[in-house]
Amino acid sequence: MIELDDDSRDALAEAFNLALGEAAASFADIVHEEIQMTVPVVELLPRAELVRQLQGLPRQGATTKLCSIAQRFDRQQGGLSTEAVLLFPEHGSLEIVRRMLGDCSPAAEQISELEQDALAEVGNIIINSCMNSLAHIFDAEMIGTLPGVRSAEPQELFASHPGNEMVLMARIGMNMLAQQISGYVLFLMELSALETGIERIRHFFELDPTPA
Amino acid sequence: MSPVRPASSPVTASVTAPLAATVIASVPTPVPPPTKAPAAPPWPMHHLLDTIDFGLLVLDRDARIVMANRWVRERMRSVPEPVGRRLADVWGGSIDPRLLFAVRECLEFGHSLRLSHAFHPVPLPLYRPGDAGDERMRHAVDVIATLPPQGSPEGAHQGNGALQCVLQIRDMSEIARRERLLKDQARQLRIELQRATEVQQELARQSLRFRELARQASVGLFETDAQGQLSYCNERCAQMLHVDALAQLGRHWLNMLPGDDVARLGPRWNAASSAQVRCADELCLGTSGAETWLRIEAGPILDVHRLPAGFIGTVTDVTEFREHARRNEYRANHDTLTGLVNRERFAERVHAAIAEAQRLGQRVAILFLDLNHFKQINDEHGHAVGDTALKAAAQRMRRCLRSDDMVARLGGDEFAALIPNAPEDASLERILGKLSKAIALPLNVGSCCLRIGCSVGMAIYPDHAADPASLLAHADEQMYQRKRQAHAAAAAGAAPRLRLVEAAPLR
Repeated sequence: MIELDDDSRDALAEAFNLALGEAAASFADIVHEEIQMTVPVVELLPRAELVRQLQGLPRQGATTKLCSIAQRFDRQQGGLSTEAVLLFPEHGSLEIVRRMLGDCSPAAEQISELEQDALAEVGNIIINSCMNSLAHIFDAEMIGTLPGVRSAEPQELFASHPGNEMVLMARIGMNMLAQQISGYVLFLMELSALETGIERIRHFFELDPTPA
Repeated sequence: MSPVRPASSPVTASVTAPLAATVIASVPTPVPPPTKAPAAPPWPMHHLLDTIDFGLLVLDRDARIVMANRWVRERMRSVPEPVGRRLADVWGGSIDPRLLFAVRECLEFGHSLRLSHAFHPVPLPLYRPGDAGDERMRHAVDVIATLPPQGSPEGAHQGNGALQCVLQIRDMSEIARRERLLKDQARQLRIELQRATEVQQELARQSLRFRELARQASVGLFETDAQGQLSYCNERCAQMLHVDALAQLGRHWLNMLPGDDVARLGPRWNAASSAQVRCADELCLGTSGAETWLRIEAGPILDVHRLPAGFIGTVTDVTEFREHARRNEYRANHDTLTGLVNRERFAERVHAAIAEAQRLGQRVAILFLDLNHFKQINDEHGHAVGDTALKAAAQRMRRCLRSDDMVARLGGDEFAALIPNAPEDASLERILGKLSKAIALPLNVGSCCLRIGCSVGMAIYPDHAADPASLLAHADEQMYQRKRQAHAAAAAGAAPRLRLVEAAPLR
């Protein structure tokens, strides 16, 4: 069981704060609106607990579904595998993409294939921008996958993973003030990658290596 | 939307798993470490890439095209051989700058990027095969960062760890067309839904309006189904028929009427409803002196196919109307002062009596009676006294005749009597005498006592004439003859048979 000392936790929080801040800034650029960010949360938790937290997030509209745009990043040499997930309430994500596409017709309940692709591109830009920062902090080249878009209930989002699998979660909330749409960026790191990650981050912040 | 693949998977691996397969992509599965990559297939495998139904362009770390599959080549137009050139060298400035940026980001940072069709409908100058037009084919490009497998010819060529960029190009024409169609249909549906909603609201408003109108209507309204079962009845209808509206719903509407009327109206209703025509009747409710006359009308309602859907009925209180009609009819046929029938009505009755007599071989007597010196009474005592005298004469005449006989005021001081089935002449002469004596009886008028005489003439059907006018003329003529005889006798000093005019104060 990995336990984080205070220094490491602070370093992780700072690293993700920087990266997630980039994501929010990039989001603001895309939608041309002011984005308000919440304080980032960094914690180690089982995936089942992560799902519980997602279920507790404030919702909008009638549906409880979340729209997730996910990308996975791997270092060429292995380790540091990270999953970046952008989450919006389903209705909010439709609003964003339709506004960007200039579609004024009343929002349908279901996202269309082209809208889904457009949403993938928007998420892709946001995620890649913050991954640039994180790769810089890790001092590693992180190779990313194409974004995958899903619309699902929170409990279904990580259904393919064991619920007791521990992950490091970094989360930040983004609110589009004008539209009252809230989104979240999650960084999930498996424990196998965590040790290397912490080392890289401590190095970046010029902290002493983790005591053995 | 393609499923997300591990970035380090060999491109050829995707041949067996089509990239443009599912709409919703799954979250990426964990990536196996690239250190145990399978042996790379040799480049001759390119012919397999020529069989797939989407475009593939592989760019090396210098962004030079190392492979373009047949799908791409078939959609390029008059461009130099792409292999060995950069995108901008092949297509010049007609590429979406975002694509060039994505390629750079892919090769520099290892990012994979999706250029969605919605934002970049035609990033490359590609054209549908066989299409001679200038319109670019609608497509979408995924820019995928990948590492050539270790030991592969291209890996060896570029150096291990050097990123490759794979452009996966999907034809979006059909998807875009389908979505446009769906959007149009959705828009049309929204318009129709809006219309339907408006119609529904208007119907609801009309229904409300009708209910309110029906509630406040001064006539009773009811509605039945095609079988005559009551489906609606307004308060006024229930009130007029003295029934409980709710209790009557679902029962036949005739049940709202009294039993006698049901028996009378039932057959008529059955005939009218079978023939789909209006049915109307009047019926009387209540006891004598306090009766209410109601007119009930029911007509069929036809649906859009002109088929019977039910009946709408009205119940109107016609008591006052009937009373007015009765009064008007009385006024039209009677003299309002004496209550006797007038000349027109009398002529009709004479006509009818002659016809009857003709049929039965009977006689009809017509009497013509004129009050003597009536003008003098009017002049000396005023019209009120004259009117009293006329009324008294009328009553006395009625009293002298049978109930089947008819007395009429022809106008002024002229009266007539019809005696159907007239007796023999002697009896008729007795009747004349009785009439003259009755009229000549003293009449108390306020403080005066009057004695009024009269002259009477008679005509007999068929003896004197066969039509009403001639009979009346004959009786009139006879009356004048007698009047002249009476005047002559008076002038000769003989006692008048019919004395007239004596006005003496009554003590």
